[in-house]
Amino acid sequence: MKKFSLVLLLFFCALGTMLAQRTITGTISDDKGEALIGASVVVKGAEGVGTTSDIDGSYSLEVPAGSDVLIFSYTGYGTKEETLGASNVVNVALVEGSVLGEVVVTGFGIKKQKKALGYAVTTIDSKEIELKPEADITRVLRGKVAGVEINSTSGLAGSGTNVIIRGYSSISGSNQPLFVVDGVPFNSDTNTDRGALAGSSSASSRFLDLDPNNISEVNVLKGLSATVLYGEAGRNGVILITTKNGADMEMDKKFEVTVNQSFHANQIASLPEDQDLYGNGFHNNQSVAFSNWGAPFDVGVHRGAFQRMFDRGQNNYDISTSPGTINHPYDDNLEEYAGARYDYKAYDNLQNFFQTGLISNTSINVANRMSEGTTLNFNYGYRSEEGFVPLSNFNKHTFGLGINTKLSNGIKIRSTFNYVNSERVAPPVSTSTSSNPNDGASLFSNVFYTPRSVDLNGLEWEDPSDNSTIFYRGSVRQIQHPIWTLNNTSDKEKLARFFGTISLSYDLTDWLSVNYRYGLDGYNQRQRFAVNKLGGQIADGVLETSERINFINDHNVNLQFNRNLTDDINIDGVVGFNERDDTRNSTFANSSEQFVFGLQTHNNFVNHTNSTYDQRESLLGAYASISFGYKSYLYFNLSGRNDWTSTLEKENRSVFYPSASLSFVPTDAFPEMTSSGIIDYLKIRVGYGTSAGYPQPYDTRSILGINTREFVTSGGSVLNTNTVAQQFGNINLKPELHTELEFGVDAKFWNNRIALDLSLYNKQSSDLIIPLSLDPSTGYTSTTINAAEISNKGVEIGINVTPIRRKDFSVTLNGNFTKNKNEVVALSPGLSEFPILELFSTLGSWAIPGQPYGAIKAETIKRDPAGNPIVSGAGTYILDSETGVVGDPNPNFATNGGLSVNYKGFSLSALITYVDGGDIYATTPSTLLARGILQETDFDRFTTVIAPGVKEDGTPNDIQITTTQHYWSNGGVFIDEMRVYDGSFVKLREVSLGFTVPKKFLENTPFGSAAISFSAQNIWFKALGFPAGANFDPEVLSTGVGNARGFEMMNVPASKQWGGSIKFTF
Amino acid sequence: MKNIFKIFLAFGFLVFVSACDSLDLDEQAINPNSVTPENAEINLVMNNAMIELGDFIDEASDETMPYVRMVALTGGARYDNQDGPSSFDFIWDLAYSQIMPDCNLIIELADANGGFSRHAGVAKIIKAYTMLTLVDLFGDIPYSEAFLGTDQLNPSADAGSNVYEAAIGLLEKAINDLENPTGTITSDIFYGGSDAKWIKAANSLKLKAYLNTGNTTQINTLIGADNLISAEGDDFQFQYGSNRSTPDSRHPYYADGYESGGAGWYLSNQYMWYLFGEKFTEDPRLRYYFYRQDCDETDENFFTLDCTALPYPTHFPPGLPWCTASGDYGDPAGAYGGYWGRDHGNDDGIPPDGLKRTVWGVYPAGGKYDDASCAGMSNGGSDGDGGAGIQPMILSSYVDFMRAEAALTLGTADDPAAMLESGVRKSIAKVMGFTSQAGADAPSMDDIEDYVTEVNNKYNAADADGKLNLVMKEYLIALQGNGLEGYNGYRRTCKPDNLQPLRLDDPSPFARSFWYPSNYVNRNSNASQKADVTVPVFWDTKAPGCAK
Repeated sequence: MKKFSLVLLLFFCALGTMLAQRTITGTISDDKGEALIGASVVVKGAEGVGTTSDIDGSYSLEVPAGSDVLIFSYTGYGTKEETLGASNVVNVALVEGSVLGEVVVTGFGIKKQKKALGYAVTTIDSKEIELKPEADITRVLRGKVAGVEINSTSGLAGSGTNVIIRGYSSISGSNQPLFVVDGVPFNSDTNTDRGALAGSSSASSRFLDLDPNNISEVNVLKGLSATVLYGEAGRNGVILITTKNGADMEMDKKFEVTVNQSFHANQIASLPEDQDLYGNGFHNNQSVAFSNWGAPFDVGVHRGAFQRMFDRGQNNYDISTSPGTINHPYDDNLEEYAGARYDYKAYDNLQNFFQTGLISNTSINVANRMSEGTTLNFNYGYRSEEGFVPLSNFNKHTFGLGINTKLSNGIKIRSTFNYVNSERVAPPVSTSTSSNPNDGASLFSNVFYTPRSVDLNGLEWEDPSDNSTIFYRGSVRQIQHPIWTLNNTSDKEKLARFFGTISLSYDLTDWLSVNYRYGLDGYNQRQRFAVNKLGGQIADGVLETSERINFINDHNVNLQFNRNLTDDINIDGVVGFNERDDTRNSTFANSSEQFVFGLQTHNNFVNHTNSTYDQRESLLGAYASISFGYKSYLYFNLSGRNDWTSTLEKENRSVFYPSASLSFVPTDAFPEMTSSGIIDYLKIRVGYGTSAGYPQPYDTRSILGINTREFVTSGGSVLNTNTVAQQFGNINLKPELHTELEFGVDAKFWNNRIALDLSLYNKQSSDLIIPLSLDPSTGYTSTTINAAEISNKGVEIGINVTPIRRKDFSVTLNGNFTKNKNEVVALSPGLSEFPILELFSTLGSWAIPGQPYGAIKAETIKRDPAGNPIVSGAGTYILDSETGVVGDPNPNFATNGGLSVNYKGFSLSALITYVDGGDIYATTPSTLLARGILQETDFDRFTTVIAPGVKEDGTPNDIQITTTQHYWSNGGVFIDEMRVYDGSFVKLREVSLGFTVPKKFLENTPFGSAAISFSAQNIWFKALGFPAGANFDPEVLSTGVGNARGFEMMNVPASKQWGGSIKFTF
Repeated sequence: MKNIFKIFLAFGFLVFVSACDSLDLDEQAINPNSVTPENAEINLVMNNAMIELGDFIDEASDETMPYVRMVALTGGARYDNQDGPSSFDFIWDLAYSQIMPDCNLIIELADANGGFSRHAGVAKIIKAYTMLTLVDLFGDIPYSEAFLGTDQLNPSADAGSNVYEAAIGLLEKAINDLENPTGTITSDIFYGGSDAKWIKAANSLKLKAYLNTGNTTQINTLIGADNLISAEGDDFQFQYGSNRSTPDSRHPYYADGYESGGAGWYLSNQYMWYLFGEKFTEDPRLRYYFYRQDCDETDENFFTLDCTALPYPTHFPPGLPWCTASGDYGDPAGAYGGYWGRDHGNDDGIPPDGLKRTVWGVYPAGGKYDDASCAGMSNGGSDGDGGAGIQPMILSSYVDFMRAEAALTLGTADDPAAMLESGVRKSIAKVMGFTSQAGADAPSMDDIEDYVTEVNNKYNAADADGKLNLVMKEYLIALQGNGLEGYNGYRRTCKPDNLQPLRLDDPSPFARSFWYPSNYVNRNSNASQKADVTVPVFWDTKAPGCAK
């Protein structure tokens, strides 16, 4: 309180004044007299007052009195300052290719000149974000920022997204970046009630609660020297989002309403191409197997053999008719089909199983400058999204309000209030390895491998007598009919969220201000997973509900200063204190054994278990940052922060992490460099940053295992138990440490037609906390220790080329390139490797010294010393007794190329992605191959195969086996190694065509502007390492948002969207 | 000016108040979701150790039964791929990080507080039984460096013989504890608090250990002391309940066959044939052991039972069961058909036969007595005894069979013929006394006598080798539900000698121990996987190729 009093005292020293204003108009052109569209005009010294030029290059701006300088700027052109005279008309001509004075948002929302920064910041403005079909802001950013890897978990409406900046570095902690919305931390958790095997991939990531149409700007801070002020939460990079409510209002009208409306079609992107020659069965014989290695639809030369088998009753495939027939699948089960025959032919299944969903998005923004110094922005968005899976959907309402005002006494108050309400319905999506779900329920575990001769959409899915599922394998419910799944299983989520900020600031002097900001982010997320009884997957039915109430309270108070010490030397900086408090309170209720079919209430189930989990984590941080600028071409920054956490014991709780950066602009220091006309701008920067990472709460102390109702004896006594917990609490746990050295060059050439942005970084992470799986013979199965060291080294290149730049016609090509080389450098002594995520004890994502993060370990084929696979006497491969590394899930590099063409009011843009490498353990394509579904299996199956390899005695294999056996036993269903594919792919990520109606057509209408656009996402892709018939989109993550990657386990496939939108203002 | 002060004062106050409680970081380090280990209650830990022991022996049985044809071996066509290392992670985890730490905690609490020698004694028996079993399955295992948490992340293995010695030592200490009993075990689900019975169990575990190591002297001492499990009331077994869920307290075999989706296990054609087809007299235990869901396998086709179309394998010695246990004897009328299991090493895919193949019966799974009703048993757990079966550990009949074997192989002081007959009678009595369901076709006293007479006659007619063969076969039959002792007995004697070979004509050598678990080999830098599964455990001194 003492310090506060001092701060408050300073306020007595200053007073603000308010005066009248005037309107300045004019045009902005280039040096050839051509109008510049979208050039910016701001009032010097009046924060937030400015506008942009329209299609004719003209502008109109209300300038507060007392301000007399306007700053004109345009990308690729020199900035010009004009001092106002008596005239209210100011026309300017900007010269192409002069040095830029771009301003970007940095830590804590402090705006800085880009050239003063010693680290990389990427800015994406609202034009690249709004009107897209995706509801998820991060998916909109995909491919647009070098160094940022964004992976959707699935194509399900509202499913989660994994965002990784500059590689994975933590093992037990989150590698997801910090989201900061309007200056305060924003919870971006992906909450799931189910584990990685049981379908966590459908869980939504909480940045889904942001409306992309309400975003004014996104800044991505990638390196530690940029994020140090954010504390340990910023160690994975920071995504700074400024909403339209939180933005400084730039408008040339007092009152403006913007309406966006879009409609997009939502479709499944990867439908496999099936073979049409063979049907259900095994060894070329028709049967009700799970697989599709059955008899051919056209038996051809094998006619005699099939006829004889049919006659002997060894086969029920009657070939005497065309198409041939088999016993109706429900022959034994439904009376109406007794004795019925069924056409044995290829049915069109998947094409008709999925639907085209409609996505409708409406957004209204109202901006109003109420009076001098007070602005108000309000928006409302409504999104309604149908998935491509029938009955799945996502609906979201967002409300937002932003008010900025400056009180007559000079205190500036800025506030934002946002409320989000959404609902989601998803199908069950447990992972699966070859048929039924690994854990729980899944639609996708069963639908894709439906045999070709089974009419998925035509066969009844429910036994009318008892509502049980019925499918082609008769009354034993070994495969649940996928339509039964759709109608009797659901995963629902309801969310209500409030987030907002209030900030106060006051200029103590013209170079010193005091600021306080409070942020509140709270939400209530309710999930409800319900399965009716009488299915095959969860036969008795379940109802699982959960409720999570999560809050972040964030206080931040600081002093900011900016002062010229001499004509040449400027210092600016901040000193402050931050306190962040995260609480998470969850309640889970789980009921099993449904009583009355169909009723999904907890009281309609026989057994109940419930639990609660409460967690609180507090973080205190003190920080300071100071920058020295010399002659506006040399800048040096020093920053540091000390954090104290509640998640570690006292001795290890406090950690200090400093950073330093330097920026040098030779083209400003030596202006003669630019005289050749080749180079216009050059900046060289180097930065060093550090950060920490804290464990989850409560890892440092062992607990007692408690189970009530562990066992009920035959006499009916209930036994409760105490047990030694299998987790060993490590009281000596320390924070993780990260350090990063970054070097970069920004340059512009040939009249700013080529811009290059290069970053090199080397990030070393040590003392990484791992949830160490112990050999149970230690008495425990897990503990947490500081054990690993990981390095990420990478290159990020952004390039922008404008070959044509005329008034009405411009062509811009931009590209980015990301390469991150990740290596597990060392583990603590005695540890040779450990799992990042163990899906099964034979399959997982591992950290192994010398290998990249997340190396995939799985069962492998036993090989001789020369590497030849060894076959058994049965002619099939023998598995090695130990698992081995079968893949590196990290891509070699990723590159994106964008094209943007503007002609008069038309604009065309496209974004193509190529990702090289990155192995994927994928069960969908391998299962479809092993089960004889994919078009790759349409060969003559009556031949035999000799599996390549050697026999156990070392001689070449000469054992002939059937094609069925080869694909089945030697394929991926039994041999994990055979399921690993190279994940390289090329993708047309985004295409859009827009048209902005010229102002002159709108003159006599109430509209200020109008635009229409057509856009499509993910409409074409090719995964180069996969069987072509799988038509596989590798951008899915079955293990959900987290630290494991490279696993696709009968996941919900990716989606594609296409449609159009209109936007108008009045 | 005044306003500025007011506003900042107001917000300053807010910050101060709201930040106050989060500034106390120590307070927040306390986990609100659980209590600390100091709060452990010895009887509640005892409950857990006892329940875990049931799980452990069940799992040991599950893993061993396929090798000795007590259930079908279907995981692979060969012995070395029936189970991979990861198949044993569960049992390793259960033994080392659950049962034994809980036993250690009980012993620790008893030592620290005094007055709990009963708890300490029982915990030592449970721990010793676990140790003996682990050696029987895996060979050399960690013991002296185990249970040290982060102080020893990579415990080295001790020789199996040393672990055996330590386990026997623990059993002796346990007997001492129980002879001087203090304290009361509140829920002794094994023996209802009888120290005498626990001591018999400890002695019988010693008998089994000494039989494995071939220690004639010690066995004679045990016989002389006459304090072994000898009557049904002494039987060391885990009694399951019939609570279907939350928690499922039923015999796991019951849930496997009597819930939904059809049976999961394939029973063994060999084992069913021993009871059904090999002898002239039908085994009185037949209808208790197996329930036939479909008593007529003659109307099946290539899809549901593909072996019907295949000839008797040429590498099989003549006279063994093939395809089903009742194959050559099948009676389409339904009374004797339908013993539908799988042959040894049949790893084919799963046809839709879940409601057709034979499922576990009333003993020991708590399923349904086979009254020839021949109906599918996937009725949501509503049939038979509702899963209230047992996991047999050491039964009085087992003790007799072990004594018979020891008398034949080690020359111990017992009459093998008498022990054999006693074992058979005790086994039949226990099984037949197992349920109130027995109705149609329940064996009569005469049937039992006929059976005993046939066994006795066969024994008397046999040579020395044949006598041992018969003892081991009758022991195997009595062991239903306990694969562990079957696997031990087969490795000790290589008997019975007419077991079905692997279906695949492949010289795959018999697994004389299991792969080390992957959670041991992969997480412990001092562990290395064995060369192959033919590595014997320390007490198994038979020549290679003896066990098949």
